[in-house]
Amino acid sequence: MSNADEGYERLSYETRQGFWDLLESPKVIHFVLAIAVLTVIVPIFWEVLTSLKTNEAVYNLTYFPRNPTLSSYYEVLIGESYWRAVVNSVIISTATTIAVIILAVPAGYAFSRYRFRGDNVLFIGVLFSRLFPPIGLIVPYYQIMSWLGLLNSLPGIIIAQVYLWLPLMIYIMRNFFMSIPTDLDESARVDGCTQLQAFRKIALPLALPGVAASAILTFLYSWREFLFSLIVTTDLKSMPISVAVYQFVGDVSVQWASLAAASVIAIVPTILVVVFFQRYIVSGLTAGALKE
Amino acid sequence: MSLESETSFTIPETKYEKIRYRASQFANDHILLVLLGPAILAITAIFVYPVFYLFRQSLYLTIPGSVERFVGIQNFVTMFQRASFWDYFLNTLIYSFGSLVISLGTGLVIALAINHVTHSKLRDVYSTLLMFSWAIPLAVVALIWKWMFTGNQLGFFNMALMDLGLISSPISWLATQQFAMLAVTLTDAWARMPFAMLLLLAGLQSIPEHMYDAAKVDGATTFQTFRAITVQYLRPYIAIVALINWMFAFRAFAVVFPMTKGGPGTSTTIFSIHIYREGMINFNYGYASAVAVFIIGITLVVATFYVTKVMGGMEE
Repeated sequence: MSNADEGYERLSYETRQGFWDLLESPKVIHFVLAIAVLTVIVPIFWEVLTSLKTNEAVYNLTYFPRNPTLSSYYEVLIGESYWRAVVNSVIISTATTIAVIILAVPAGYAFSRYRFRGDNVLFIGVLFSRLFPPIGLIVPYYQIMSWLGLLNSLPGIIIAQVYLWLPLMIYIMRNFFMSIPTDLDESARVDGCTQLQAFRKIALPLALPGVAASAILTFLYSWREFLFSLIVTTDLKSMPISVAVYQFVGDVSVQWASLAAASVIAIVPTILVVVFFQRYIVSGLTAGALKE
Repeated sequence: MSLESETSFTIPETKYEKIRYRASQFANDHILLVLLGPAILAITAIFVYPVFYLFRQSLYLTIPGSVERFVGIQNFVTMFQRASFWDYFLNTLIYSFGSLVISLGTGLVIALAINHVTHSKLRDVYSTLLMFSWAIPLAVVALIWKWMFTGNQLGFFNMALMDLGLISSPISWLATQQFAMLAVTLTDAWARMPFAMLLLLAGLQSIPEHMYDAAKVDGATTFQTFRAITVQYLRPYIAIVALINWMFAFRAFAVVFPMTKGGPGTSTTIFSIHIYREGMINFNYGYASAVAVFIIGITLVVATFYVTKVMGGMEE
């Protein structure tokens, strides 16, 4: 290597290093993160500010409400019977979560522990049903629900929701069970446990954090679901929050303050879930995307 | 009597105990049926059957009010011959790839930044706050941004830009052909960024610290270390995020429908909107099913790639 090359290498090492040190300096990092946080928070905050105005006060063109009021919330929840949608959402999300967990946890365990004829085919089938685009099924779902008389009913939405989240949760539970050593339930069986007891008394208690993660994710996902709820319901009696928000979006004009209040009501539970269960959600999302 | 039954069960005497004993014997003999049966039965009833029904219907001509008629691949021929179908295809590609590039790019930068935050509490605060845009319902996300982009001077952007003196009259963002697509794509990416961030952060945290120590001992520059270690470890994570975020943006409905309903004109009509309009508004079940089958075909190709290449490659 010639002297000139060495000189260039050294100079470029220092400039490069200097550049990277700057990029990695706390100031730059916190600046980048502050911008990111603002991009996420400002639109949500703007919605909250709007919800504290009245539909008329929106036209005052001020950023902050002059006379902050909760009247939009009252008007939406009571006046427009939006409370029904809140109740529906709670029922739908809770029932979906219970059904999905009851079905997915044993199935995930079976896929993690047993080898049987066609196990791979069945498991790939579960994977495909998870990756399948639900938008493709809206027409058949509408037709089938209409034959069964389940349009505009809570069971109709819950069935659709179980279809949407069950395959993913089987996959997540399988990955959680895979991370539990198999010798534990095998030695329990040697000691005289039945196969079901090995699952219920040994593996299940160890997988409880995973069950919690799946349950939290299922609840959050079904709270957020929009497409199938839109297809199955047209009636506030069975409509969940995510669809009911739309009654404030008219064809001609939008009642922005009412819409904002309704949106904030739909948002608050999801934010609380994220704040309190952040670790579970991260572990569930990771287990759902990666292979154990 | 075998050791197993001696230790697990008392000798059944009452009728109730006998039933219990039989049930647990049955469960033990048919353990897979008990564990797996209900889930498989549910998936068959609520997924496999509708899929079968969809494929069958894509071969029929359905006109509201008259009897459906078998027409073979006629619906697919019609679909491929429509010029608008290819416009929607292009819209869907712009939307899904645009969303992917933005969500993956910002997610990567943010994950790298969070990974450099030394205080662990602060790291949690940042990632929790940044998860908000993922957590809130997608349809509400769309309404929040519809409100931000509102065309008259009520909208946040118009209000702010006019107060700053950058524009003199409000811009109808969502009613402008070119801008509407950008707006829905940005909104989609806004909601998908946290997923990318979280998975890439998990990837960054899976890199063993001693790799960096070794690089330092060898005198590697920060950039060399980044390229040789960070990028290498992150590669499978980036691939997974890319596939998942693309696949979900490709089929997304809840952003475009509330924001623009596919307009102005058809400038933001993506496949999901097309299916909804043909199926649920025009009641063209056969044709809508054909479009759905097309989307499923594309998804299956990508999903197969995902299952074999990416998931296979994760096994070290």
